[in-house]
Amino acid sequence: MIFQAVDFIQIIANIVAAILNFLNPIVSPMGEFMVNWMEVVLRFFPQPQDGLIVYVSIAIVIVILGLIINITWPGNKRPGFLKKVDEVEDKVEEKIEETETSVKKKVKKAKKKAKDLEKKADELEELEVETDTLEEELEELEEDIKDIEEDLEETIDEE
Amino acid sequence: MGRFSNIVKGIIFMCVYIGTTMVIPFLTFTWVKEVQILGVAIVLTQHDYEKIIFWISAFGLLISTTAFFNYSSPKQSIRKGTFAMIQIILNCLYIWSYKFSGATEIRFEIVFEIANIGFISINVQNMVMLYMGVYFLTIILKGYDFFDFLLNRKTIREKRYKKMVGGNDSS
Repeated sequence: MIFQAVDFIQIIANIVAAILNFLNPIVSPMGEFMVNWMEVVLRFFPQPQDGLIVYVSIAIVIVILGLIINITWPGNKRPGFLKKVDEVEDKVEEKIEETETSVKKKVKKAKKKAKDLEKKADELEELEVETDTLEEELEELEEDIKDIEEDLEETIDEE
Repeated sequence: MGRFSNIVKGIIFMCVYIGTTMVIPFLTFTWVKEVQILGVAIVLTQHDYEKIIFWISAFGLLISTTAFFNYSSPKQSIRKGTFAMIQIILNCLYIWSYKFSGATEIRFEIVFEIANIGFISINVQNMVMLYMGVYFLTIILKGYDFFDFLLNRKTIREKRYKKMVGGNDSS
């Protein structure tokens, strides 16, 4: 079991070594560049004989600055330019609502008018039907009158 | 997020960084200072032990405090980008300070009873170089983030404060 584990570790080590060998020519020059500038920069940092006072004071300053800045500006207030955009958007929305309501009112009025017109059209149709029946009755009456006149003429002629 | 949650987040991350960059390395180096393997006293002749502890404490402090500033800042803000970059640079210096204090060439001196048998020296400088190369790429990535936050500030803020359907802020 232990020997098998050693084999397994060896395989992993080989894989890691292969990856590192592959990356080495690409990444190592970058690392060298980093090391060069860091060696220069570290010369300007306070050395062990100077003590930790400088680092501690820098740390305290950063924490206090972080507290003040992130409490004062937590990043949840809307910026000024977006407020103006909001105002414009609100105005546009108001106008849209106004136009919508006016259009709705006009549509209602138009619907009412249409209904009235439909009613009138129905009444007119009924009247037409009535006039037709009356005309028919008139025609019948005229025929009757003609018949009566003819009868009268005949009776007069006989006498 | 509100100011309280931002600060709490910053404090949590600061504690994590204090643990990983100061407490654990300190305990490890203190343990490595005198270690025994298979009954043979292998004394780590770490002359620069105090130096290592100094650099660990110094950069650990700076990294932890910048982590506090970084994680308590709002998402995609310029200050977050700035401090994330500073943090990465400090991380590089922190890693490199291990070499600076002699930790990249660890020398184990084998002492058996009175006789000094010899020493084992492990040179991990090549690995540190590789690690630094990866860090270089990380710095480039953070730099890109920083310029992205800087150039697309308006659109980021518009997205952050985008109104929801009900008219509430999404932030």
